[in-house]
Amino acid sequence: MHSSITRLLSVTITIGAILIASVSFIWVNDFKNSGTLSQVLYGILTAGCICLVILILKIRNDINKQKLNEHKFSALLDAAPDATVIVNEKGIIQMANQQVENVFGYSKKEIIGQPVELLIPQEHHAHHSKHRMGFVKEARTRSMGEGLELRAVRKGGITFPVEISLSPIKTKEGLLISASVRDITDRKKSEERFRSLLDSAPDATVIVDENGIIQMVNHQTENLFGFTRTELIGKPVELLIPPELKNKHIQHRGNFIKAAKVRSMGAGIELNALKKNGTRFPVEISLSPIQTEEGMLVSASVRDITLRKTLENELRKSNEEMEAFTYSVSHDLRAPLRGIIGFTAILEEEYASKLDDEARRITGVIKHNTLKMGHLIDDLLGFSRAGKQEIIKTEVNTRRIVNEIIDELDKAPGKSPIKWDIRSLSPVDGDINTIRQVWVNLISNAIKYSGNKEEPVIEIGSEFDKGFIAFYIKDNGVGFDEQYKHKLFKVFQRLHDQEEFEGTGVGLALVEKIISRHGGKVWAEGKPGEGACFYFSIPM
Amino acid sequence: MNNNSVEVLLIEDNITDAELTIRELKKHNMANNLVHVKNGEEALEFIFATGRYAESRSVHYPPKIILLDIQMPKVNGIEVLQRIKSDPLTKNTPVVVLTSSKESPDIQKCYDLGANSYIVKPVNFEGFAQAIKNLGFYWLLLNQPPF
Repeated sequence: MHSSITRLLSVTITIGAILIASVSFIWVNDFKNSGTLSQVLYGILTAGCICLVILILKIRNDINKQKLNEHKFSALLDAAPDATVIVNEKGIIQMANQQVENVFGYSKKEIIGQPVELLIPQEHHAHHSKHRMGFVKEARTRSMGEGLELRAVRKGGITFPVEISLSPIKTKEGLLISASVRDITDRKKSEERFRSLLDSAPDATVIVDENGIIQMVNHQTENLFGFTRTELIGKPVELLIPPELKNKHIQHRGNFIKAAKVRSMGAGIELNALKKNGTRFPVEISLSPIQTEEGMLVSASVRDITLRKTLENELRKSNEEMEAFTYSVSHDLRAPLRGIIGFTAILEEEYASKLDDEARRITGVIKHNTLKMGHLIDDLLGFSRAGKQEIIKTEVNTRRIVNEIIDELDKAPGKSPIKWDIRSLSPVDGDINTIRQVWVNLISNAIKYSGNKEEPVIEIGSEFDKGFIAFYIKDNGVGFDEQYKHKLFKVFQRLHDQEEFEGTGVGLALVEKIISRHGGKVWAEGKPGEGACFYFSIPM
Repeated sequence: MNNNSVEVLLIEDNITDAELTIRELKKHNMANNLVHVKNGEEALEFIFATGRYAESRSVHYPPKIILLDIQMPKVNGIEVLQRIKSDPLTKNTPVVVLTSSKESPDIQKCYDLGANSYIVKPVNFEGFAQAIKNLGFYWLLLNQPPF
């Protein structure tokens, strides 16, 4: 019995990847006469054809799906912002994305199949393969944040700084490693710039995080405190503070974080800081909060004020010494003067019968000169005080003071009465005692130097002028020669004879000193024989 | 004079000032029972009847008025004032503080310690004489002593 397959026909209908129908035909001649076994075999064959078709279709679908997935994957990879290189256990590049071209200058084709060391500078090759093998052994995701900073090399040989993150991918063919590579040249540049800015800052700068751990310091910090950078970074900032102040400081730190705002040096906190060698020294600190993604940082500028404090102390001591000196001078210088005058008076009184006119004139001269010396001492002391004493500003009622002074001073009997012309007198902000002294000196001068006039007129007033109040006292007395104007306000300089007009030559110098301490100016005009006008200004 | 019948105790280290003061008081007959001591230490011994005055003095006979110069060497006037005014036996004695300058920061301190009066010794003599005369009249004649 010979039967044979004469024809085979398989028809498969699919729509896309979906199988609709699959039909197989086998023509066997003399089928009826074939044995049962043969018939079964032919049946199986027919079924087998259908299976084959289905299998072929499946394989085709799988391949397509795979291709699609690969395509998707590739597209995803290409869309990644960083250059991504996928490397196998042996370090051969399997895949690369579009960015690789931008970052490294190689096209995908040029890179795939190459060892990854192609992208690494020569000198790091050995190191890198060791790392690679280590990573394969203990593969875990390493993200950019804790990234390794390395150098990479692009086509053409130029190296550049990169940050890399690694992810292991387990596949059937073994471990693949996906590396994302970011070119951080720009970032490094601005970091460099920032660092050199920080380093060039004249004051020590310490940057600290919310927990008080030092993140960054500059060169000056190393100089000032005696620690190296590495000794400071990562340590608590209290390392730089004397132990007895530590707790207070921790408290302050906490408060600052809560209510963080810039605190500048002027409003600075003065602390004592601690050097590495244990010495304490005074510092002034300014603080700025810096908001970052990782939380708040605080930048502290630290200025060593040892010198300033020393000078301040010296100044204070010197002032105190001056004050003590002044105090004893006023006592010790006056006592002998009192003696001279007192005993001369005794001479005059108890030996009156033994003294002729000339003798009495002489004792008069003795007393007169001694008194003068007394005035001089008073004036000099007042002058030195005015230079040092604090100015306590209150509102001064100018009109009232001037009227009081006129009442006190205008008492000379027998002299031609003075006509007082008081114009507007603005109140001022000033130290009441010294301002009073200014008025006393100027008004008494006006009275004194009008002494020889028939009808003395003294005019006093005030004006507003560019943020200042200017006062003037004008008299029609003996005046002065403007040629010597520059000597007017100097100590001991007088423009008139001692015989004509008494004076120590300190009064106007005192006025000048007081007014300049108030931030104002003094000046004068005069014409010999016609009078003078004295001005002083005080800021409003 | 018996040290216990003292009326005026003058505590003054400056001899010239002392002489002028005494002369002036004498002029007005107020220096008959005057004792002059030249430093704070001796002043305290006199007032509290100790040291060189232990025998001749009793603390129960204080002077009518004490004229006290503030600036003195060693034990200065402030300390003397404090001692006088803090002891119950002597604190009622009138003390007139004399000083050279009114810039003295001790003015407040003296009043705080209980000084009865504070007089500046002026350089010019008339003023000084007048001050002493007034002092004398007031404290020795006008004022009623504490007992």
